[in-house]
Amino acid sequence: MTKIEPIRVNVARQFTKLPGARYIKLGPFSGQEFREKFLIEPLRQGNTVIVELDGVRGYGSSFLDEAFGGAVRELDLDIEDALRRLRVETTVKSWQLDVEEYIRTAKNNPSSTRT
Amino acid sequence: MTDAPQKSAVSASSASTSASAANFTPQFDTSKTSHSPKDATKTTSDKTSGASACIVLKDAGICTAAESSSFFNTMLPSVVSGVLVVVGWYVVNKAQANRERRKQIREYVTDLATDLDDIETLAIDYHTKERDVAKEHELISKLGRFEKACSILPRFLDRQTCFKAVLPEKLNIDGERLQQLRKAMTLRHFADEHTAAIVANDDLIQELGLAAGEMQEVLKSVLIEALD
Repeated sequence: MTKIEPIRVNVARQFTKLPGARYIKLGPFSGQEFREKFLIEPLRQGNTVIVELDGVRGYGSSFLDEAFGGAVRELDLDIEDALRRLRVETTVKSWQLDVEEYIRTAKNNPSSTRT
Repeated sequence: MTDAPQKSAVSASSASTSASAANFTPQFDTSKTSHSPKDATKTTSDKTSGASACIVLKDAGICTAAESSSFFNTMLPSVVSGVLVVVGWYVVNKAQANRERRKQIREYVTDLATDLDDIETLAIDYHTKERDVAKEHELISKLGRFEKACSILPRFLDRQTCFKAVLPEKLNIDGERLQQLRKAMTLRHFADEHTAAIVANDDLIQELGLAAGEMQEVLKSVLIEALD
């Protein structure tokens, strides 16, 4: 049986070093844009995605919520499944905690994902 | 009896001018080179002054216990004091290095506290005025730098295997505190949600001040840990 390698996404290299706001309409490099470019399709196909967060200037909480929490809401993923298949790697502990919290509470806050 | 060798020695010393030199008797040499076991021990011990030689001779039955114990009387104190000097140097050197490292940590944490003050001021300014995109970017940037700087703090103890300057767990900034801080500043009323300025006593500003205050407490506790 072949083991499917997780898909790695490096935000600084593949997306931007200057993450923006929550929605595409607010400007470039938003959380919504990141989600649509890098997270939705692999997660929909059942892949695991590992996002490397380091190397950027910083993240607003709204960016992280929209990117990660938004993916869970959009695909209506089971929380445990999402935590297993959508992971982050970073040396900044608070970013990791933030992402995990937004995944856990994604469905408690359905109104925040707007297009 | 004892004069005979002396006489021979005197006559030998003047042998160059006297005919008796030709008749140099082996008596002189015999008296100087004849070795009793005791003489041999003495001579070897004098020449080497080494403990090992004496111990070997003692094991061979030709060195007395009294002579072998001379090592403990002369060499051992020197060796012990030498070891103490080296250990003392190491301890003092380590203590000095740790003091220097703690000083660096204090300076670093003081800078972090100053940065946090700036971030808090900036965040309050952003939220209590009309939306300013440049301030949004500045806030995210400064906050990101602050979070990364806090994450680096434990690395002050890298390469310290023992005699650490500070207990390692004391340098771990609680990630949840940082998370609360960032959420208070950038989750609500941020970017497009910033429709209008909010008043200074709004819940958001109170929450923001509280999160910053708690973070300052964390930094202070690290600072106290790094005091001499």
